[in-house]
Amino acid sequence: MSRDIVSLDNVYANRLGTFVKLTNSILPVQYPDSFFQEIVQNKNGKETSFAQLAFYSEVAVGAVKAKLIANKKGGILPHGMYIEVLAVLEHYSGKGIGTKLLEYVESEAKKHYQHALYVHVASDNVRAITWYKKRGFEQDGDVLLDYYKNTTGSANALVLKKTF
Amino acid sequence: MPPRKFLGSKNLAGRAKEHSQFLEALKLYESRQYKKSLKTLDTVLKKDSLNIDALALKGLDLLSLGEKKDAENYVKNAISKIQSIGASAICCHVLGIYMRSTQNYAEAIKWFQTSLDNGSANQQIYRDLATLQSQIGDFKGALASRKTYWESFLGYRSNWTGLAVAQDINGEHEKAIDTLSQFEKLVEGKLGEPELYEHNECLMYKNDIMFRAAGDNKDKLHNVLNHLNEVEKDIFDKYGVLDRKAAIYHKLGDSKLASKYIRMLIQRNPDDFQFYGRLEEALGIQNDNEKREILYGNLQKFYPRSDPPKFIPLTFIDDKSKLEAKFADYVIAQLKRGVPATFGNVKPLYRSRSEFVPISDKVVNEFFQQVDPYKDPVSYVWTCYYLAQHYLYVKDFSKAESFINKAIESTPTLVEFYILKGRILKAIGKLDEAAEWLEEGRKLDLQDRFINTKTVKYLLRANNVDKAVETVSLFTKNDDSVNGVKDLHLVEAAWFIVEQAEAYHRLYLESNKRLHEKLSAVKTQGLVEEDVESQLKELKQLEWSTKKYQGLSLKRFQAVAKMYRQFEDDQLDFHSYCMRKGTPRAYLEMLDWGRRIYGNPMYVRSMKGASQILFQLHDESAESKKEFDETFNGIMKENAKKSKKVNSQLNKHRDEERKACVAYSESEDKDVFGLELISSQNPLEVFWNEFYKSYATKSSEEARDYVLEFEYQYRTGKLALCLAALNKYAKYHGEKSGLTGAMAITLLLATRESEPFEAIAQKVAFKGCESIKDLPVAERDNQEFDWCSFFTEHYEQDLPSLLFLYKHEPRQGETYKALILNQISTVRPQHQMQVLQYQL
Amino acid sequence: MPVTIRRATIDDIICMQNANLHNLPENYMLKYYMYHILSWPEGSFVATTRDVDEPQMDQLSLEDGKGQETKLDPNYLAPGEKLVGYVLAKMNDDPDQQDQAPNGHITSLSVMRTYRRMGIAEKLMRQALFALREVYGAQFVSLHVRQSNRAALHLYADTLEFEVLSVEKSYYQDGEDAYAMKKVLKLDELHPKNFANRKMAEKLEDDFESDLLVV
Repeated sequence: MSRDIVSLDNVYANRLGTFVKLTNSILPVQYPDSFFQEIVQNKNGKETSFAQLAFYSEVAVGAVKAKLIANKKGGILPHGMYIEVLAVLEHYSGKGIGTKLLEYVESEAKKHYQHALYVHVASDNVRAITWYKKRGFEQDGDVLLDYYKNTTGSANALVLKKTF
Repeated sequence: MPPRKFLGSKNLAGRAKEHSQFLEALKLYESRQYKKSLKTLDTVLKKDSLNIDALALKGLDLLSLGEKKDAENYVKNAISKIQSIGASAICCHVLGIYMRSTQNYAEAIKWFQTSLDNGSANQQIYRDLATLQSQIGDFKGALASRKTYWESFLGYRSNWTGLAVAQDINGEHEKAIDTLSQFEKLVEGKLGEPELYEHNECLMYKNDIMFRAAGDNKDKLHNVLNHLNEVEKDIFDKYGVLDRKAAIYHKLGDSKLASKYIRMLIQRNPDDFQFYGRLEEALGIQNDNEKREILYGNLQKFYPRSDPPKFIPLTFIDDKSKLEAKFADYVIAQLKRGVPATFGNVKPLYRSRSEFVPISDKVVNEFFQQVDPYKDPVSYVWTCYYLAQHYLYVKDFSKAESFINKAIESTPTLVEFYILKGRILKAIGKLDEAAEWLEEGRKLDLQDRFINTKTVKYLLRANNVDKAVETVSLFTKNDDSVNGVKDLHLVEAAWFIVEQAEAYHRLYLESNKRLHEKLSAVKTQGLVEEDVESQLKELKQLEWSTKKYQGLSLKRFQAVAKMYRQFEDDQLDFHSYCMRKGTPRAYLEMLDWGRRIYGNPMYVRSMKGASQILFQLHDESAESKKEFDETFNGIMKENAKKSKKVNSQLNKHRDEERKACVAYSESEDKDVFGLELISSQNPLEVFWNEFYKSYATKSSEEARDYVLEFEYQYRTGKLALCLAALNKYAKYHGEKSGLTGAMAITLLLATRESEPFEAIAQKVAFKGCESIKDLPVAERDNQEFDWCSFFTEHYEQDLPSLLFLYKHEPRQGETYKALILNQISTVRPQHQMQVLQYQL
Repeated sequence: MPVTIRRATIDDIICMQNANLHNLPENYMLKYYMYHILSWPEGSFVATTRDVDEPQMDQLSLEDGKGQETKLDPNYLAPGEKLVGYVLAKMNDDPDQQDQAPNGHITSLSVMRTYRRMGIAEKLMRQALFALREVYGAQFVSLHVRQSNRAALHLYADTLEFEVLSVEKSYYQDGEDAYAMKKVLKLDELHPKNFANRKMAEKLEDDFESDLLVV
């Protein structure tokens, strides 16, 4: 109920459509329906998936979805928090909305005793790469070839990592 | 026949026991133990099957248990016996209650009255009588009843208030004031806290009566003022006091004090436009724009958060550059804040002052040029939204679309944009696409009922009834139904019911057309040998859909009419409730509302929709119907075996279809598809009883639809009443109005000997036609006369009048059709399609 | 014409019911609106606007004898007058709670989505709260609001300064919880004039005497 011009809120089932609309209109990648359903399902199990909508003047303009990376044995003994989607509408960029979404992810990571954030970025997405690097991310490993399947942008990706 | 008085019984001893049993049954009824009451009555009736008291009470018990039909039989039986034997006071009372419960208020009044005549000492009957008399508008009777009741129970304020109200309604203002004053004296100094509110209402009510009675008489107005000042301390409705004072001073010509009180009103609510007009009037500056400008400049300083002081100057400033600057201030401030209704706020100016169209175009486009979407996305998108509406208004659809697309591209999460996108598509006739965009918007926020409602409306406009019902049902309570249709009837959702009715009607027209095309194809070409079954199926399916859609459409229109009858009936409890609650002022407003209720937009819309169906059913000639049936049944008979097979296939789905259409609980309504309704032998009677009677007798003369009146009376054959409707229409809409001409021609031609109207009616109508200016009555029997040219030369041709003539004058149908096609280019594509698809 | 805020009358209730059906999941039969207006005639308010559409082209309209057109649309009250918002208020008349000081209740409040961001809901509420206090002597007023309703929560908690009393589990038919909220009513504080120019640095108030026709 913040009166700030930028605020975050949970993705209630009723507003999942807004989340889908934002993701699909901002990102070149097309996600399957099951990807979005994760947000509203699995309420009873352990929290491994996190999502928020960002509002600018009460209009939904940004979205984030992240998850804890489970180890191979299946339990939650993760290496960190993985950012699956972090997107803000073009006209609303530069207003601190992305930063606020990132802060949310970082604080959730800390709550779950994690010390690293990971994100994949298309190798040609210079703006995003600069944006993350400005916020303490560094490239982690080599370029992944043909990482994105359903995309209109570059198929190659970088992994960016931030530790704290 | 009025019932006779109770004549006494033959067998007194026997009756005494039965009578006490009857009284026991009555007690059981009163404590709502209807079944037990019935049992007791049955023992009475076993011994004395002619016991009228028992028969009547049994009827009432049965009614209370929901056995309407049985109840009616018992009551009828009782009443028929009363004719010869007479009835006890109790029996009459019971019958009165029965009649009241079945909404036969006039009958109920009769029986209550008889109960009193037959010696009932139950004074409560007078209160019930007053209620019923008020409900049916017998205010004279109500006054008498209220008075008698008041005499018996002087200790209750409600009876004094009731009496005063009844006196007031009957024009006995002095008596009403006196009644209220007497009671004030009685309770002086004795009022407890909880009574203070009703006391305040009654004081204000008394002042109302005084004010109304005073008219423009200055002495009397001073009296009203004195009274108001005297009681002001006891009145809580301070707004009412200020309002009254302002009105009195205004009438007294005291502009200083009048304006003072209006200013106090404005301070209490600076967002009510009404006060500003009154202030101008009180100051006498309505025609002095310079002073008005100063006035609003000053008021704007006091009320910067309120719209009227900012907006009103836009309605009168003449200087063009000043106007433009004011307009820019007004609009751009709102666009900056992202007010969705900005365009809606100024749209009235487009129509009242057309110079605003170019001003708005210029001002907002200039603003748009300098808004940086990255710096100020909110202003940017709402400006796009404004411009899209602006271009929609001026019918530049492609610009409208391009602006709404810009808005959606920038901020695809705002539901409003999808609604407008849909509206634009609707205006250019792309109904399906429009509905798809609404659906896209709806998915953004499933909890927002507004967008759900809009989506449903668009789906219905696109005739997609199934999807519409599925969508609307997301917000309804569907306890024992497969969808929300029943719940929407229960919660009186007229918007949905009417839209659904209209969708069904369009589906009917389409289906009917296809049916007739198919049938005539089969008739001329015969069934294709190898494909008989599927063709039979298609025919049967079409025949069923046609009937079903027509029935459902009428059924839904009727549902709205029923709803309004319920609204009228809902007043019943309040005739006595408001007296107890002490709200006589609101009560009088209710009575006034009740008198005008059938002029409400949604009632009228349903009635007009129903008229299309019922008039068509009336117009269909018996021969054409017979011909259709013969052809259709003939084909089925020829292929009896296959037809039967097809039937059973189709019948499989019938139950599912029925479930999806259920609007009322099935015990109350067996005619789910409305098939009985449309198979009435007398569609005009259905129209009169179900729709038109209430409207014709209860809407104001000015607001009445005289074209509908003409169409109705034309079909009942009452040409004199058509003439009256025509004259009324001409009076309100002008002698040159297109419909005036269309009706005049139609009426004149109806007086020809060849037409099937009654000779006397024709004579009267013809006489009337002779006095219609320019109408060439001498040409009536001239088969060659070109009425169409006469019409276009003498009247303002517009779409409604051309369509009227097209329907009524088949001789020149093609000529009118050509004119319609010509005229149609002036309206939006949406309406063009509507006319082409459904009216030609 | 932009929006007018005024006291609701019985002539408004059919449109109030319609607006409620358009906007909210909790619906009531017309008689319940009648009951409000006829029991507490000074407590409810409506927001209306003037709207016009193209003359006579629209099939769904009816022109009356004065040349005024009524759109045959459920939002229309009278020729050209359209309802866009309402607040339906009552006094608490629960016979089990008569030991309480007089108090009011907001039964329903809604504004059509296309008329938001104009402060209509706030203005309707301010009028209703003032009336409940002034006319009916309400000492406090209560209401329920859906937990997920961001806009309403902001209005009540921040703008109108209601306090949250409790969370009522599964208050709504669909199972959602409600905040029960309450505001103590003080007559002086509630006068609408206090909010006429809230955000302005310089507060000017009409003295009802000064000449309004001079600059």
